[in-house]
Amino acid sequence: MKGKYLLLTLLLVLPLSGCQLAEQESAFGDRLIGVYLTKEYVDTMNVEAYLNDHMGETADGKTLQVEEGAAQAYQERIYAVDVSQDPKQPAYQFPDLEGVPIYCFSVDDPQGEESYWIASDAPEVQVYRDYTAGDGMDEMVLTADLYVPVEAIQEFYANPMYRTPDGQVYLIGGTGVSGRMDTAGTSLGKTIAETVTLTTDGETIQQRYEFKINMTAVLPMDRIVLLELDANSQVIERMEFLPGQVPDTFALAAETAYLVVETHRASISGEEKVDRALFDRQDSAFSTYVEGENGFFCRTDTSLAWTDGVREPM
Amino acid sequence: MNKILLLPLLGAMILALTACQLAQEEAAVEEDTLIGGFVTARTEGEFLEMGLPEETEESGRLYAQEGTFPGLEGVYFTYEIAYDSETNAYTTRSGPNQGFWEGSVAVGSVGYDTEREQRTAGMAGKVYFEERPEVTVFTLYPVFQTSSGEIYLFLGGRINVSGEGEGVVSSTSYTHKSEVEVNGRRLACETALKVEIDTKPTAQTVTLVQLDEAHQVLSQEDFLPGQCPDQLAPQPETAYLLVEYRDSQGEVTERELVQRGEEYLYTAWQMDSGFFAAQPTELIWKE
Repeated sequence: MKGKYLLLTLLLVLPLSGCQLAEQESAFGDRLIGVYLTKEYVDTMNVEAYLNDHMGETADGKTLQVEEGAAQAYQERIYAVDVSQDPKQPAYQFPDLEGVPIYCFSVDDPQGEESYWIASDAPEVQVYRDYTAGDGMDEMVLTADLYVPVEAIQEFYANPMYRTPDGQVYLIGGTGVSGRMDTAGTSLGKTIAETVTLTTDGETIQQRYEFKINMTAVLPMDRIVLLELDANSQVIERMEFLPGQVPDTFALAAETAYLVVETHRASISGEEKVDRALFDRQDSAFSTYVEGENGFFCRTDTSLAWTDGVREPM
Repeated sequence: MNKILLLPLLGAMILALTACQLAQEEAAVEEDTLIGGFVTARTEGEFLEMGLPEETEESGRLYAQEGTFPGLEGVYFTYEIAYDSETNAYTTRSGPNQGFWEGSVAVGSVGYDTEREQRTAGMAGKVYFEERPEVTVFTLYPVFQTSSGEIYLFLGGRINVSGEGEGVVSSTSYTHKSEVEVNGRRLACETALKVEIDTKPTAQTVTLVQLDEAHQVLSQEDFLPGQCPDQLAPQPETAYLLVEYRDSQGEVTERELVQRGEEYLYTAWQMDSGFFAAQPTELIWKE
C-alpha cells in the first residue's frame, strides 16, 4: 500500500517540477547525452530499495514523500539498443518505450586526434545546435523543437539519457511538464544540462551539454498548396497535396522567381487558417509536417530543384 | 565563395599586446553591470591603422557621451534587467537598439534555491551589414554600467570576427561572470552577449505589393529605403503582402512575405555606418 502511495506522490510532484532548468548529476563517469521524450511517465524508481532504506522515517505515521534529488540513487537504468549498422554512427532506441530520442555527444576518433559528433535524427524533431569553444570551457547547446496537435492537456516527460565510459547508453525516469495546449502556438519547454570537468594531458577544461526541448501546439493540416510565381508575382503553376504526399523533390519552372507554400488548417471552430511561406532561389528545401502515430508531428523535407531550363515531369 | 576568417595571426598579435591590460580590466569591471554591446565594422586597413579607441584610451574604457561613443560608428544595443527579490521576478527593458534585429533577452537561474544557484542572463540578436568585396572586421565591444550610472565601452573585452564576400554569416559572443548579493546570499551571475552577423544587398527601392487570396496583385507601391509609411491600411481583400527590395537595375534582390494579421512589417534601410536598421510600418487590417 505504501508503495502505491509513493508512486502516486511521484506522479503528482514530478509534472509540476519541470519548468526550470535542471542541472543533472550523473553516476561516476557517465555523461548526460540527451533526453528520451515520452508522453507517459517512465517509472525507473526502485521503490522497494528506497522503502528499505527509509522505512524508519514513517514509523510515527508520517507520509513518506520522495524529493526529486533524493530519489536519484534509487533509479534503475533502461538500456538503449543501437539499431544502426554503423558503429561509428550509432542510432539509439528504447524498443519497449514509445518516445522520441534527442541526443548529441562528441566522441574521440580512435583513428586520429579529432573528435566527432554523434546525434539523433528523429523526424519529429527540428534541431539547432550551437557549439562554443572557449578558454577553459566548451559548451554545446542543443535546441529541439517538436510540434504536437492542439489538445486540452498535454504531458511530456524528459527522461535523461546517459552514456557510460564503455559506450553503453541508458535512461532513467525523468521529470515532466504538463499544461493546457488548446490554442495553436502554445508552447511547453524543458531544459536539462550537465557540466563536467575533463583533464587531458594535464590540461583541465569544463564541458557543458545543455538540451532545450520546446513543444508547440499546432492545428492539424488539411492540405498543402504549392504556388509558383514569376518575377511579376503572376501565378505560373498551382499544385495541391494532402499532408504526407508532398514529393521529396519539387522541380520548378524556369520562369519561377519564387514559391509560396500554403498550409491550410481547420481551427477547432471550423474556420480555415492559411499559413504562407515564401521560398526563392536561395532556398534549397522546405519542410511540411504530418501527424505521427506517437502524437508528434513528423517533418518531411522537400528539395527544391531550381532550373533555368524546362521543367522535368514529376 | 563564402568565407569566414578568424584572423588568428592578427588576433594573436593584438591579444599579446593587450593581455596585461585585459587582466587588470577584467578585475576592474567585475563590480559593474554588463548592459549590452556595440558592434563595429572596419576594413582590414582601418583595423590595422593606429588611432583606434583601444590604442588611444589608456583607461581601457570609452565613456558614453549623450548616448553615443565618440569616434565609433555601428550598432549599439542595451537591455536593462531588474530583479525583484520579493516577487522573485525579473523585468527587462530594451534600449532603442537601432540596427539590432530579432533582439531578445532571457533570464533565469540554474540550481534554483540550492547552494550552487547561479543567475544567468543572455542578450542575443542579429546585425546586417552591406555586402562588400573586401575583408571586413567586425568587433563586438561589451558595454558596462557603473553603480553610479556611468556607461562605458570595455575596450579590453572586444572580440573580433572577420568575413569576406557575399552571404557571410558569423557570430560572436562575450560572457561576463560576477557575483550578486540576494537576500544576504552571494550568488554567481553570468551574463552573455551573442550577436549573429549577416550581410544584405544594398537596395535602391522597396516595393510593397498587396495580393488577394487568388494571388492577384491588388496594388504595388515603391518607396525609398527608410521612407516607407509609418502606417499602412491594406485593402480589405488583401490576403498577404510582399516586400521586394530592388537594386539599381530594378532587379529584385530580396523578397519577403507578410501574412494577414501581422501587426507590423519591417523594412531594412542602410545607416551611414553600413549596418542596416529596421523601419517599422504598422499594419491596420480591415475586415
